[in-house]
Amino acid sequence: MKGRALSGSRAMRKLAAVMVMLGALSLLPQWLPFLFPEMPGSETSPVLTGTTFPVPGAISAFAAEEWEREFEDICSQTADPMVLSEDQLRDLVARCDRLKPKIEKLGESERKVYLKRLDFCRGLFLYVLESKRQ
Amino acid sequence: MKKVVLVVTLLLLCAGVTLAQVGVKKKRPLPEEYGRVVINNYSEKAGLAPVVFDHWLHRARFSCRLCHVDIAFAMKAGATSIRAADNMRGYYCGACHNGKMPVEDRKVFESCAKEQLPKDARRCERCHSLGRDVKREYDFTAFSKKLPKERFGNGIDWEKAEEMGLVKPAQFLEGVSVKRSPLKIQKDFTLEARVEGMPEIIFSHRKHTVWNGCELCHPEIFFGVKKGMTKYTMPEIFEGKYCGVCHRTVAFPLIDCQRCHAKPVQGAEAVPAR
Repeated sequence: MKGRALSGSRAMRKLAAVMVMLGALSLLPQWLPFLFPEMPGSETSPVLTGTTFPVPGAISAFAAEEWEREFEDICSQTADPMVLSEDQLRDLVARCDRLKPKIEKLGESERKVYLKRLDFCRGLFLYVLESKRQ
Repeated sequence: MKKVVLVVTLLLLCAGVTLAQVGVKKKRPLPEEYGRVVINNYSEKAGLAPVVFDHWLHRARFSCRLCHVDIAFAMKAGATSIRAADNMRGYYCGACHNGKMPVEDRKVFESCAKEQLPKDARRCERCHSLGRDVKREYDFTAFSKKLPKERFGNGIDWEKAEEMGLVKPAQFLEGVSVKRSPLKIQKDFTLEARVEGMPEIIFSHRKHTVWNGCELCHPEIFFGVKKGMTKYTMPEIFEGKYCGVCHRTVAFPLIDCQRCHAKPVQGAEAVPAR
């Protein structure tokens, strides 16, 4: 009886160990950029490292990079928007609209900052589009 | 008794009407106070003094675009609603004030912390300083000593200071700014003054683009897409519209007429100097 009880608690310990390992494995993708910063695709901006530090339930660093890359790609074209064609401008506005809901899902600070920044870019593309039409 | 009340009421009414017509003369801020922003969205609620932000110190180091586009500070005081948590996460003030960024020979101080420990009091007071007897780290007089002078505002000709290499406003902040191709330099243009005999306005589109980029002004401040379509009026500008967004608060003030109305009226005869 005693032996069975002991083997029962041993099984529980094993189960707990397996669960901890599984938990750690599930967090591994978030830890990778911090463990191996030189790994391709591990470049995390100082701002992102502050906000996406791997805590359970936090948005993953990889997912964050996806919207950030799209944001950078769109807003990098604000330097000389006059050279863009009307189709290109329309496409950029549409991309802003598609990106907005993704940014709205971010944490409070990120959401506030990036929505404002996205608004600047979208506003400018629309403005230039309108001036080209006229 | 009734007569006294009547007389006092009449006097108050007259005073009110007089003040409404002539207004109250606004005290012109001192050069070091020009552009100063007081931020009090949450400070007092958190038991701290409101933040006093010296615009001159920051504009000497960073371009308008960097702070107002890339870091997303609103153009109106208090409109950003900055929270300590935002700063701690590395946004707004925390984008630079993170205890890591090098400035001259040291690291910039860190803004905000979860708990206010007694040892942090001095650091907190560097920003949360309204009404406190705080010695400011940077002395305006010493700072502005070598810079070219102007009559109004901060008393500094910022444009000339940059041309002379005395101030170098940064355009890019690693990890925050978007990598953009170099800005296309825009050509300056003239705008006709509405008042006869008033010199035409030379709008330095080039300078404004270099400091602001395109998106800071268009379309939020200047929404007209065709040149000459929007009729700008001085009363509107004095109310804080168009040029008044900056030239009433942080950039050279509107009373410095000649800075904009700089082109001689065509056909006007030059008045010989006596």
